[in-house]
Amino acid sequence: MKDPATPPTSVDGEPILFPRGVHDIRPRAQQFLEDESLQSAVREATTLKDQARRDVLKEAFGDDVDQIRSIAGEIKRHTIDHLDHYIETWIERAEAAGTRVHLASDHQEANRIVVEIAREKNAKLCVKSKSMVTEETHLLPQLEAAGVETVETDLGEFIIQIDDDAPSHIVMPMIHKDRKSVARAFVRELGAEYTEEPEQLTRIAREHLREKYRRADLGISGGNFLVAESGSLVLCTNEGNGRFCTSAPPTHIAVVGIEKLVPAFKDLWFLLHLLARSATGQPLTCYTQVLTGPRRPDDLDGPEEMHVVLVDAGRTRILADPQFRESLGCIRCGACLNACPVYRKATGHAYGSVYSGPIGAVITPLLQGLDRNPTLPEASSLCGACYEACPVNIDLPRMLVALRRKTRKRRGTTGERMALWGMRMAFSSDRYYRIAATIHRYLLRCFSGGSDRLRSAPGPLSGWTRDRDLILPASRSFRKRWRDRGGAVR
Amino acid sequence: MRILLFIPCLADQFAPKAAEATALLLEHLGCEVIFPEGQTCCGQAHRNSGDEEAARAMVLRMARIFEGDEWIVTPSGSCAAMITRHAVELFGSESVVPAQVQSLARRTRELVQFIEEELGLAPDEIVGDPGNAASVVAWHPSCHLRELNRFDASGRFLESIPGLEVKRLRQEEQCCGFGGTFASKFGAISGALAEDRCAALEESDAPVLLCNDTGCTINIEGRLSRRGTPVEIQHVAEWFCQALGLQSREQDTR
Amino acid sequence: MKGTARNIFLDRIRAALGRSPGQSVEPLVVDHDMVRPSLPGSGDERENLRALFVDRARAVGMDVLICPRAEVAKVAANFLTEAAITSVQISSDPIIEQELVEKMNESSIRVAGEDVELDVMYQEIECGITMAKAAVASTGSVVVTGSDQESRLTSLVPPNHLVLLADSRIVEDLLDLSTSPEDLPSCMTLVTGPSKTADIEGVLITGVHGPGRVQIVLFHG
Repeated sequence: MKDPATPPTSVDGEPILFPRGVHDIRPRAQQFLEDESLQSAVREATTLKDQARRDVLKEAFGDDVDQIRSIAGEIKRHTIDHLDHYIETWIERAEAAGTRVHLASDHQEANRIVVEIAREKNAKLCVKSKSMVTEETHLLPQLEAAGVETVETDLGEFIIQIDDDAPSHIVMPMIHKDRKSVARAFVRELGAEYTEEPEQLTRIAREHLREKYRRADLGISGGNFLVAESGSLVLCTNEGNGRFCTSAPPTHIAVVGIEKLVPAFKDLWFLLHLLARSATGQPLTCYTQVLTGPRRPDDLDGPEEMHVVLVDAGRTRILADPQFRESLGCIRCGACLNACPVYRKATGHAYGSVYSGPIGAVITPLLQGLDRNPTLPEASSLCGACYEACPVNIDLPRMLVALRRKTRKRRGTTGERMALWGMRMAFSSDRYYRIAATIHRYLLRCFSGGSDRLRSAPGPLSGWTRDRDLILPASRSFRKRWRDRGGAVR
Repeated sequence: MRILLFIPCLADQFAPKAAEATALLLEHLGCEVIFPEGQTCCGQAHRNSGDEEAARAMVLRMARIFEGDEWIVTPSGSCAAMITRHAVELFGSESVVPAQVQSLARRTRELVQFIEEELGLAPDEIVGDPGNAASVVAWHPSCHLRELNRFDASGRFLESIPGLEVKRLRQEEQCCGFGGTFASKFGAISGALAEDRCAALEESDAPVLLCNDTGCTINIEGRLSRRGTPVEIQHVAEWFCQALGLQSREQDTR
Repeated sequence: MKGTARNIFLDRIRAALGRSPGQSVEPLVVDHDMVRPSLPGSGDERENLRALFVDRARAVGMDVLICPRAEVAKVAANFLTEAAITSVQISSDPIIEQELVEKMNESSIRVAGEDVELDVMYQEIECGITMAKAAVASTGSVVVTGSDQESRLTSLVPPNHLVLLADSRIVEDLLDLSTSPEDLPSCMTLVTGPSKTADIEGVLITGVHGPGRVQIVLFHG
């Protein structure tokens, strides 16, 4: 394994997740578009899951799906609108159940809290189940630096860790990798015999990780939900590694974003009906764990200590802006990624964030800064597939446009500004419009050399003619024809 | 019934025949069609680019031009969605939306939506058979039909036309990659999406693609031209006019 | 100190929301019942619930055997014998546990203690046997726990998991699960299928870290 302090890099030499400086989605996307096996893997997986989502939701809820999505959205929005109240309630109940609650304002604080607990426990080996927040905070290098060997235990995350890679999808982290790369990594890093059989590869990982569970003195997890009424932490997993990490080691730390709250169990159950169906097409994930404090005095097993680190790290900033607040309702099902035409083509790593796809294009700029991610909100045809797929009814296209507005105010290229201004002028009266249309048609005809289509356009239109022709406007506009045939006007 | 015809700028310039077919079809269905000549653009491009102020000005202008109590019918799904959904959002909460903008939003309909929901006509009440029009077509549902709650409905409407075989395209729910300035700014991604649509179209073997959004049309047509795939793209209105003998199937001279 | 830091943290959230400390919250009123499954209107309600549960549990890849209460131990032993399982760990209700142990002894299946180390579990126990606290018809889930009667690891570590489920414990939906503080153990797990992954090229593999096989013995009476 490579030095964990150096993050894995992408095709542009920058860290895959959270590149330095200003990130542009295009150069990576263009390279990934040329990788045929990557394209077909991502296309297959996303379209399959997208279809599964539609089918199972329809099967379970018939024509009520949209109404149920909208209620789920109301539940999350209500919770987020009163987040202080529900966090306070949750803390009180969680502490009553014996959970130790820590609050982290930023990445550094979150990492420091976890490292301190690890030190205090004299931990040497940590088994970790999936947590998106710890990718945001870069927790692993910090733990390793503190002398705590940390092993990802979700199969996909484990493979990514030993192959010095990064997740490229919220739910299917190694959607971009094929079995050959897994086989090679297992030979190189685990000394395994070469096999490409997924079944065999899974066995190898299983045996390797079982030894880690046995020796681990610390388990780290994320959290899918926090239930205010009981102070519980809820984990949704499929493989069983999450259960191991929260059952076998004597100390369990969950690192969770503050937006994960729900008021009561009835709300939790409601959302759970949508989470796995939207993510993978399952009615529920194989394991839904409701953890309420560490093991109790008479319990047969379980961790002696349970810690939950509630992480803010930019979330209150999102909370403060009403037009983006609802993005915090995301339950990380990945349905918007699967439905998104741009995600399918650009693929996860192009986004430069652990959150990719439409939700990533919204929350990455909000969490990491729009200045560093100006192209993410632009990289959308606003087709609305994400909004339709979202189980909690988040209006992502609206937020993408709102982010574009912010970018426009701050930067926006001169050419673009001029084009918008020119169009605005042209559209301000029908006379200007007719003149502008004539000039436009004339210019395009000049470029096309008299042909009715343009095969190669200059300037901003070159993106258009890269892969397609531009069919020129008709010589007679509709309004001219209408006049000519004496149609009624006013 | 008197209706006001809203022909978006792209249709006016790039697809005048489709716009004309819209008018002819509406007249055939007994509507008195008026074209308010002052119209230019609904402001969608500016709204999508985040230039809210300009978009608001254009919407207000639209509202003035289309003042009245008639239905406003447009051949474009995306412009209908812009007016019915986003125009109102541009002004913030319901209470501060100018009355004329509310009226504009309330009265605007996409053509197929208007025929089915407001005229209450089923396809077999309009045509008995395809006549001179193509009897096998593929259907491209434009993404903005989602915002009109018409994504499935318009396809189903076409499927119930007597004698017409409608081929549903593989991954029909996937955007063709147009998205206005997105297509130029993110040419590689957009082009790959257009290619997916064209490949699916070729697979379907349909000689004609029906679509009711000029944006999608020029995008798909451009990619078909680059590929050299001879599929004709028509607006739903053009198909009906051909079936009814109101318009010839010949390609228009540009 | 801790109190202060906590207040600063919460105050920042309140400021973002424009709320003040202790400000009340109107309860959220929505129709949670929308997610309930539609059951056939006629016939015996319990019968319908059971049928739905069996159907959904099988759909997610769990096997279900049905028998009268008196035959639970026998049916369990038969399953184990047929699956060539020779050692089990039981973590269950004391009454049933007694019956099971007797039956296992008869069938020469070794019953391990509840306090064995993980490495011993890995090597020696082929099946964990637990008693479901509840089951959910709409999702086909069984509820296992970590508590004073049940080890968290018994239903997780061995490659097979045998769950005993009393017919009367089946509820219609997740919404009907009891979650009152006195009913909530430190760990409650809804099991909805065998452990699985599709991480490598989308190929479905069962039995990743948890049991690859889940056998439910559903008993009535």
